[in-house]
Amino acid sequence: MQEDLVVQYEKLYRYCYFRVRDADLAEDLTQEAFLRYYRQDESKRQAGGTAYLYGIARNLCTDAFRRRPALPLDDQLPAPDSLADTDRTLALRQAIAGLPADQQEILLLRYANDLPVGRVAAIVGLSRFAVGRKLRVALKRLRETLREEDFA
Amino acid sequence: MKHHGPRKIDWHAELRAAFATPPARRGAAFLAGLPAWRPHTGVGWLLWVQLRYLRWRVWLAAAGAAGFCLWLASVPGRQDDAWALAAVLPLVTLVLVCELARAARFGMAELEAACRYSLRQAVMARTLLLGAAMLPVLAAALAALHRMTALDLAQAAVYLLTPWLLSAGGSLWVLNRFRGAEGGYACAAVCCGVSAGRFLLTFFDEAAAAAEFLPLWQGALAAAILLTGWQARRWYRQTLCPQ
Repeated sequence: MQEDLVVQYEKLYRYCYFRVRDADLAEDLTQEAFLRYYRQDESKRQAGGTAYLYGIARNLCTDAFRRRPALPLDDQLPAPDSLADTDRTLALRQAIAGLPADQQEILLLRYANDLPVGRVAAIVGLSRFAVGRKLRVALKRLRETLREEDFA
Repeated sequence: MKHHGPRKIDWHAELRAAFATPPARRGAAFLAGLPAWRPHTGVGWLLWVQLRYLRWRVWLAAAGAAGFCLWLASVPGRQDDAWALAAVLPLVTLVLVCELARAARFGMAELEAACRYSLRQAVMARTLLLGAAMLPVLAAALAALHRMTALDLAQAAVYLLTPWLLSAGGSLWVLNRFRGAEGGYACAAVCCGVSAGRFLLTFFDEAAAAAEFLPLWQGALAAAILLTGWQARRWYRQTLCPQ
């Protein structure tokens, strides 16, 4: 895991936030994941890399979600950069919310967190082909949604 | 605002905006408190660290034994002293085995397990280096015995490796049962016993080296290999999984 720690922290926080939909809880889970990752010995960290870190976060989010149901997206989210993008981004968010949870997760990991397909596959426990297939299906639905809203 | 005409969608940028999150408020303070990220260190560095861990007596014993074998082979008219080659090897084994078991003797396993490298990596690196120390000794003894006697290399290897492996296997057997300083003393007894036994065998050297006894030696070598392998496996399990 050579990436800058700050960037890695933000990406993991983004992942945890969209799993649990609570900013404070997402930070707690992000920090817990980092601490557990650091507690492992060097050989395990070197072998697992980023996928191992995300795996820890994934399990923590699943446990937290079971204890506490997810809250809907609220106005905590930052506003888009310009008015021109407001409707488009909101439409995308609604479209994403309409996707199955596994497709949302894969979209976040692949496009928002910029992880390679192989690493996404390792995190979610699927093959690269399965991840590619889910990505194509999800993007197709998003494209259709944007076209319907006349944004594409 | 509506866009006219199709446009290529930059999914990375679009989805990063769609997945935007509230700012993380506690990230900077948390990351400042994390232990400093240590860069990956390779096998070379691990071997160098273990090389510095091994005491100089290991290399001195190996160099001394190899030098003795080569000297003996270079002096003319000392064929009757060829037995000394096989008798020296168990003494070198004593030094190497004690060095291998030094960490376990002082209860270092848990401390080593908490270090940067896994305990398994450290022990394997140490074993590799000690084996590398033994190789020149074996090669020198084999070459010397082949030169000083009429034996071919394969037969010479049987006569040399049997006492060596007996001392190694016997030492590991002892270390698996006795901890602390007693283990070291018992190893010394085993290795000196094997060396002395090889010396006593010189009185029957002509008979011992006879072709009809070669199968006995080969059987003894096979038994020594099995003993050493079995006890080495047991020793590694006890060392890598301290209770």
